[in-house]
Amino acid sequence: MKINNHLFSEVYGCYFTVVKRILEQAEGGLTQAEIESMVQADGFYDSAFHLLPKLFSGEWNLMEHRTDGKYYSRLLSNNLTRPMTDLERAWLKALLTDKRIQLFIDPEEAAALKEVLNEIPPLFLPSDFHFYDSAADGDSYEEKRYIDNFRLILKACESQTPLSILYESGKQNRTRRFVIPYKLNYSSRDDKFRLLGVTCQKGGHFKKITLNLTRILTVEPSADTYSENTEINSTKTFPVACAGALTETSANIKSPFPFYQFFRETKCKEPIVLEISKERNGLERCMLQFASWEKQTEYDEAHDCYVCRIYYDGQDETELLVRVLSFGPVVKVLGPTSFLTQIKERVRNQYRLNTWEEP
Amino acid sequence: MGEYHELIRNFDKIRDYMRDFYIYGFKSRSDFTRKSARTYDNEKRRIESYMGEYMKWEYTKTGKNLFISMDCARLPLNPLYAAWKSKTFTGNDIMLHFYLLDILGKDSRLSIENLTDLICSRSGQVFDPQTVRNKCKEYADLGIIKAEKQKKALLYSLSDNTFNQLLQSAPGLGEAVKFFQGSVAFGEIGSFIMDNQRLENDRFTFKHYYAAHTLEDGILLDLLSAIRNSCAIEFVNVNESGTRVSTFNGIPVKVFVSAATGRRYLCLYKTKEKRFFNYRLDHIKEVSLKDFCETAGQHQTDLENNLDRVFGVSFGGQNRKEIVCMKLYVNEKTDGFILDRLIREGQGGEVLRLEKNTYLYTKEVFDSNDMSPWIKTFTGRIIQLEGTNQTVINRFYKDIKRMKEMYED
Repeated sequence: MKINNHLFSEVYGCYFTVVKRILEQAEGGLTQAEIESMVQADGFYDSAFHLLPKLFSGEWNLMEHRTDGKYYSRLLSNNLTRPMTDLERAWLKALLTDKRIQLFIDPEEAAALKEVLNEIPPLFLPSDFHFYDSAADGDSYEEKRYIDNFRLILKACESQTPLSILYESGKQNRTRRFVIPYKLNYSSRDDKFRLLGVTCQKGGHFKKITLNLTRILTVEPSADTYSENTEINSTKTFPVACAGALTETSANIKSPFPFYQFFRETKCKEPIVLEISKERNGLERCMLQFASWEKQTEYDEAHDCYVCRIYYDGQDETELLVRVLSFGPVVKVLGPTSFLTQIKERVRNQYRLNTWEEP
Repeated sequence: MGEYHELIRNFDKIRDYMRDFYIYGFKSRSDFTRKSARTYDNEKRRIESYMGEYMKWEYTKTGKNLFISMDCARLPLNPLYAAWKSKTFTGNDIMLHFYLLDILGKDSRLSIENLTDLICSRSGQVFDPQTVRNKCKEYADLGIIKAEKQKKALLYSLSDNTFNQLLQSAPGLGEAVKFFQGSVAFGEIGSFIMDNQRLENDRFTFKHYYAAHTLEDGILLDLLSAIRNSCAIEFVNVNESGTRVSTFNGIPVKVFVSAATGRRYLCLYKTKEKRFFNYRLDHIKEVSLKDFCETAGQHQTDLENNLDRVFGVSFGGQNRKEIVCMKLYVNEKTDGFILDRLIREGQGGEVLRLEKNTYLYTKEVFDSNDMSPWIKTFTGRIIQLEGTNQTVINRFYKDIKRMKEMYED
């Protein structure tokens, strides 16, 4: 079966999605303001300007304006979800060849899906790609303990159920932690999942935490642990909103837990400032390498170079340090002082090691 | 002069501008010399509309700079997917889309005449049966509609391939889509499914995520199609500055991906040169599929047999067997993570403990140039670097000397 390669089709378009949502809700009539706010929420920034006149004027004959001032769908159905395209099905079929699919789907379920998607070829295969620099110690997705933990955590993220987690650190120290799970973070470079959550320390201090999934030994809903740990009930050091979200008598978390208190922007006060020379295609390499961070670049005409500011989370500092070093003299760190000091120390150490080695 | 439209007909039109605004982000209006200033204004306006809050600007000495800025580690969905959702359409397209879903949604199987009559009566607009037939054929090609012959007539109905049907077989599929839209190729397709199903990614975030990959997915789709069908290809390649346009041909074998630097390459076997080359996906503009190639399977095998000697993307020059030896100082009490890194990132290179706190890493590769950036990540710990490519070794020591001068107080 040949797949239609139309990746760029209006069927997937933003306008079709917005209009679908409007029509599905317009059975009982929608005011102009309600429709405008739906376009504002789901459309592009300027879509209201282009889309609404066609919808309101009747040019598309999809809605009718009645005497009560509301707009009604001219369609009979209020479910306009289209069947999947072959391209979408081929993408889903490709997922079944990915080792990580076991985290979501049991082998029997995967077999049933393969049967349903029998006539569709997968859009791609793992063997089509060669990830030449991803980590050799990626997570073990086929391990039963890992799969069970992953699913428990994923479910707990949805219900915001506090978890009792037995964790083994890099130095093989085992500790039990009380964690309110927030989200799962995946790094393609490391091929690892990490749990982002909020943990309670002694004295009732709550702080955000990142745990490698592969180092999680056991996961349980935390009711028992919580009742045993009276310190967790202490609210004196909670952020105000957080304290309000925890009940005094049980481990249940009132929804929604104010994760924003812990996971809002935590950028360092000062960005890393790099001076990038034009040598060895440094600019392009740099721009690509740091593309996943928030950054700002400008051309410095006086020095004929580029200055790039990278806004980063403190957790990423060592990684950024190593990445900057990989550029050698093509990139010069201008600040901040603490970062610059670390770079200087590494360069000084290296020079000392090699002074007798100069060619 | 054409009127401005928010939607576009040709994806390539927006691909380069979006990439420039995102990857570079320091270009002002005068730096965009590919097309007219008016084209720049229109593309800028479109991208501002698509990107919303992620579009930033600042005044510099060279003028007002617009750029896309985002911290990918916090994004539930790649904002650049918006480019794939910007295809223009006609009034007939959108009307027929919704009336077909509406009318065929109730287990209906209708002939084109009956279908056309119903659409006309319900919409209050006259449609030619041929117009409706063309749309049905288009949707049958996409897989949305099925056409079945009954006696002499073709009857149209909605395809029963729904996401809900798949969910019945595997309830975890919804969560899987939320994850894989951010972690495999063609994530935008996952995003299409999420739009249609009203799914939102409230579970996963992604680190080391390279958002610009999505802009190359049209090219990638053509390349994978050629690989799958063992076809030779011809493609147009444009260098980074856009000054040199070349046409290359060969047999596509694999796609090389850097998880660390965010680059993707086509690995091509060039028949004339009788060897493999890698080409950046973002430099490829057009791909055309040529004849079936009987030897495609053999090239796949040859590549697999040689992959362990390709450290990055280079297959080397004349000298195809180079050895790199790096002696490192690793404090065994405090720096165990360095050994972990050597094993994790060293692509199978041999790691030997020479004596207390001293380790030797050795790797044979086609081109030791490819290893230079990685070697420099160990700056501060390299006791000695040796190798068969003396140019690379000399450059390393020169670079350290330059850095010392650069950072001298």
